[in-house]
Amino acid sequence: MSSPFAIESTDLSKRYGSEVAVERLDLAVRQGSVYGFLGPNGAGKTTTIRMLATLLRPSGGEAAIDGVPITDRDTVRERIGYLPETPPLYPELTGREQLQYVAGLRDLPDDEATRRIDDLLARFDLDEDADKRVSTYSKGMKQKAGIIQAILHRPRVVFLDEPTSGLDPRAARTVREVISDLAAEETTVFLSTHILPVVDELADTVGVLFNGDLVAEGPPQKLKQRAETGDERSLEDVFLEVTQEADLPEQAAHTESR
Amino acid sequence: MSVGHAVLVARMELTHRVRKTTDRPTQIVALAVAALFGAIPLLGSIAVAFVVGQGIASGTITDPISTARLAAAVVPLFVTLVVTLRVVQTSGSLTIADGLLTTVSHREAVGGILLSELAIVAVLVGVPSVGVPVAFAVGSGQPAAFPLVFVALVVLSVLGTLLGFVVGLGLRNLVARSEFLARYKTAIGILLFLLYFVGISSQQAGSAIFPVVDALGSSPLGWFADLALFGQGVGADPLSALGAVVVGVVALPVLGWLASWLAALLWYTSPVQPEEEEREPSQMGSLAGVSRPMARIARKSWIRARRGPIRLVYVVYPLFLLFPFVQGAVVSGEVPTALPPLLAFYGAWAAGAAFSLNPIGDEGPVLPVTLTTPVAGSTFVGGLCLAGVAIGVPITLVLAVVTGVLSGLGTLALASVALTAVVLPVAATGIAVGAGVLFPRMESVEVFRGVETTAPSLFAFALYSLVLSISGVPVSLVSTPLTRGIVVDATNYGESVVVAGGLVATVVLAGLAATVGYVFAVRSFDDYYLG
Ligand SMILES: Nc1ncnc2c1ncn2[C@@H]1O[C@H](COP(=O)(O)OP(=O)(O)OP(=O)(O)O)[C@@H](O)[C@H]1O
Ligand SMILES: [Mg+2]
Repeated sequence: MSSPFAIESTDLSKRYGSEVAVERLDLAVRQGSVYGFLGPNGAGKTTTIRMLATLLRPSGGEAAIDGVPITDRDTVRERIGYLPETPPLYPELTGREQLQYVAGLRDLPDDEATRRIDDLLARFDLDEDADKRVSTYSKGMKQKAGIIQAILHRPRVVFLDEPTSGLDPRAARTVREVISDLAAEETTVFLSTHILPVVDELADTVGVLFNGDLVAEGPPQKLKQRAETGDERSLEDVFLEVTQEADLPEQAAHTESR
Repeated sequence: MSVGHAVLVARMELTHRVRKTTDRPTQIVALAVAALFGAIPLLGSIAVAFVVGQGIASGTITDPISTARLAAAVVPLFVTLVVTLRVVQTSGSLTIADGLLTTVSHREAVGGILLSELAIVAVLVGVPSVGVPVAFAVGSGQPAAFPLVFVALVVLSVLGTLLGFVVGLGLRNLVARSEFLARYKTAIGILLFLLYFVGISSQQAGSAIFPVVDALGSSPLGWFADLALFGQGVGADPLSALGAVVVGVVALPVLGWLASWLAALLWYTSPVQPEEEEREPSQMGSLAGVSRPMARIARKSWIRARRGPIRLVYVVYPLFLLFPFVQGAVVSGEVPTALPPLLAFYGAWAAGAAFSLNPIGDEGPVLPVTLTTPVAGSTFVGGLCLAGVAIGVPITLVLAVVTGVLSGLGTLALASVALTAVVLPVAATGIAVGAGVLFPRMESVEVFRGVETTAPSLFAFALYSLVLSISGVPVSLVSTPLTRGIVVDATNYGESVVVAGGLVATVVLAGLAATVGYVFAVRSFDDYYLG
């Protein structure tokens, strides 16, 4: 089965009790592209990513990763990598042991795993601290280990939830380079972030989530073009405009129609 | 230093503690039990105060003042012990240290937690500190006795609290500064607790405590008795009473200052970190004959346990139940025949409890990753069981067989014990994963001396221990000579047949329970969602 879309969803919804976190979300992310997932705090980005990563059971709708429905968890899990908001590491292990552990869970051959781990550790400037315990790591060091762990097995689709949070400029640069490289190797990157320049630079498509709804979607260049006049504005302006509280534009519409 | 800030800190601290306690039903039950036991000495002290008051009034108590001096020493001693323990365990650290210390001065912060501790002490000794003076005043028929006894009790309690802070913070400072203490604090804590336990159970405690109380009674602390009984015509020394006032006026601020100084010393230091990682080569390695993911899961459990042994401290607790047997063996020089099967059973219990009693909660922050790797439930659960079996079976077998030989068990009984020591630990891990998945514990709890980790839930413990015990019943029936005899008489079968039958029954029961537990855990893991 070869679908042109690495991530597809229709009517994907998640409710917590009566609270709606994600509302009938339709996504179609092309193979090998970088999708920038934006939205204010509490918009539902993490919830969406967790559903796509087979960690949360959707309340409604369906989704498929690489053509495989997310209900087929075993197959989906083989093809994805996931970096949660808080880096998932055992404090008692060293960075290297943690990476070896996850490589083992994914059954990578030992020498192959060692090579990749050494490569990535060096690339992220973490090689000197690799044999220290995670409990002694700084926030950024944990984040780096979390990112390495998510891409170690060269997944088809990577979900990165705020990958640059806590990183120094050099490390953030490395992450951006790594994302470009991944996309060049036909890996699809689904990334949520609040740092708009990152998305502006990397994303092929930007989606803005607001109150569980996709309120804007398209290539950054196109979104920045004002529809009526055609002049350019910043991604920040776009974000602020489409994520205004719903009653404001509605009120405006009312006054206009009157 | 603003008293208002300190009061605010104290209020937040108390609210936080009360909510933390009331959020957990088990904590409430524990508290209720503690209150029930606490009420006994409390009512006792009130009764004693009444009788003493009467005795003084009627002249039957000949030397009341020296008895009162001992009492005056016991109050601060008790309070100091309680507060020291609490400071070492929890209240020595601020709940949101960074936020608090960048908002108020450390003097206000320490003032705050002091006040909150005083509030707790007030609950502990508050009732007696009102009840005792009242009972005494009523008993002695002199209402005027109330205020002085009350004042003396309050000052002694505050003194004890401050002293507890100074000692507790001093100990914390030592641990924060000494690499040796930092590294072995778990072991030292367990050792101290064992010593305490041995001391209590050997009934030698009295002879150790009386001299201390005696000495304290003749120290300035005893002067508070003279203050409390001043003007009762019982021979209270006016000079000592005055001395008590001076001690109170001088010691309270000095101790307060010391506590604040020690707190600053503690809170503004970064504690020493025991460095161990350089000594161990970091290779996860593999285990012969086991798939790589499964081997890694087992190894990860071992590494985590070795580096954070506190996580497993609960596995040691049942050993206290075995203590009388071990003590008996040491004293009499011969191993009781009950010990080998008990050890086999404990070994099995520990093998299951150590790594598999909270499969999902133990993953902690890594759970999302574990769940997004293609690891199957059977691999994950199997790896955890392997971690317990690979260590538990050899140790249990050796312990059971060695004690079995020493205790002079017959061949038949020895073989039965050995077989139990092999089969039961394996089954125990299966039962444990089932119970642990049925009752996961996600949030971290304080397991020991202020250390928070994810400990298995009490329900998982109970279910696991119950099922394992039931499976062990047949074999223990046929292993104990008395009950074996009954069974042999009742069934008319030979001894070897009965023993074999008991063994088979246990193997079948344990195997069945383990299979159910294992399959349930595997299924649950495969179907597990975060929400
Ligand atoms: N376990 C939960 N129970 C109840 N409500 C939840 C739960 N998890 C998330 N929510 C709610 O779902 C909504 C979306 O949360 P989500 O974490 O997906 O937001 P987000 O877009 O990732 O925000 P942020 O940018 O702050 O990370 C929020 O309103 C949140 O309160
Ligand atoms: Mg989020």
